[in-house]
Amino acid sequence: MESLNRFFGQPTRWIRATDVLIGMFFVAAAYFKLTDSFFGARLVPIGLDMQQWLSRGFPLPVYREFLQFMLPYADVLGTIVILSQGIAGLCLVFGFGTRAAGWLLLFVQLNVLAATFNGPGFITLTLVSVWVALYYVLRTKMSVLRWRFLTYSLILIGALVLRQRWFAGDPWIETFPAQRAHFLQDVMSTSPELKRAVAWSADAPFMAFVWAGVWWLNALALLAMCTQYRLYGGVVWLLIWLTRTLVWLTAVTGEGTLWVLALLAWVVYEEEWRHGERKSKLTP
Amino acid sequence: MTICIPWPEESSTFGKPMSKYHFHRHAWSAFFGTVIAVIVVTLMLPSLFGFQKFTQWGGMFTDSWCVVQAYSDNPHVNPQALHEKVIASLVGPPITWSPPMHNQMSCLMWAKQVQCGRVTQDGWTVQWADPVFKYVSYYAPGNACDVPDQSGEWYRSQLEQWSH
Repeated sequence: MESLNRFFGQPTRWIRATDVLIGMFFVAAAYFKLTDSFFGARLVPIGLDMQQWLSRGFPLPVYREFLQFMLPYADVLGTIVILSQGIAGLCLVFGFGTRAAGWLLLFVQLNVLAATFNGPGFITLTLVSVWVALYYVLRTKMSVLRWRFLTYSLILIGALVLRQRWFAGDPWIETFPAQRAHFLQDVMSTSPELKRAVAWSADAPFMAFVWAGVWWLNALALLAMCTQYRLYGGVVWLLIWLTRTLVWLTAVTGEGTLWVLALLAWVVYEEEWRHGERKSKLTP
Repeated sequence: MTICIPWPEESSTFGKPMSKYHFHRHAWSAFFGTVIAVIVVTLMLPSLFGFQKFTQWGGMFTDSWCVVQAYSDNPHVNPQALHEKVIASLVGPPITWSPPMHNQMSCLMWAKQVQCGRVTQDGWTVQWADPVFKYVSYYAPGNACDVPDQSGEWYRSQLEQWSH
């Protein structure tokens, strides 16, 4: 009992727990690229990806020449990406060299960002991964300024997602029938029972307002993140992403999970900063 | 061993009154623990707990993850059967998030419940469906349209409603 109380009485351990989860995520990302996409089954060999990015004008202009130069060495790039994500993930899992892990992730994810900057649908995933890398780079010597920077950059990425979803019609009840039909036909949740429950509830007449309302609630949470109530805004935002990922699992997949992990990391750190017994260590 | 549920006015196991501060911290710990448990059970290790495993843990969006080769007839018997290749990501507007990812089971059920019986743009009806997952035709020579209905409702075809 004493050990249970000690565990629950020291929430700094939750920061460590989120490190382990995020580390495991990047280890899995490296493994996925090794077995399924870059090598292994070669479903999306990185060379093919790079060719498509170039032909569709995705890279930043300054990065375009570098990408063209690296095209014959695509497998080398693939190996670097896998090794970087895998090693950084292991560092986070075992809790050593977290800052170096952050730099390693930042290097890889910034390169991916530069290569896909103008590509629709990919940028928010890359930006969140860059945010996670920055979190580990800046965390060891955290200051008010750094934490503000991390908070507002996360809000900006969230605003970008909201903007994308605005154009997808999320805020309006008129798009509800098509989205509901898409959900029923193409999407699977974390279990068929959960999907069935959501589908059943979606038949209720007021559910169009609830579906559209999630976008507005998300917007409200982002606004709250800019105020003294930012911790509660972050909690609402985290719960929205968690629910969204569990319900729209096959459509959101890894991006949804990364959002959940990034927001969990933010909420845990913010809570510890505000209320933690080791406040003096975190507060400059 | 007794498990103590912390409450502001009650004593902790050490006989000291629990302060509002400690109650607050316990509540946050309970929240973080619950969220992390949900993440581990449903996103990280779903197969261990009977949930669906797709590419949610470290995977990335991939087109052609699940493809259905749709035929008007059994292609093994009738080589002249009309044929159409359908990629899961391209079916029906609107793609509200991204290409839907699948596992073998969901790809089979999608072939059965969305493709079988569908009338194509050329006017023929899908009678035979061969699901292909990660370039492997794993159900051949079986016909997804023969999968028994007791597999449960995973998908509900809405194509005709959308076209109206």
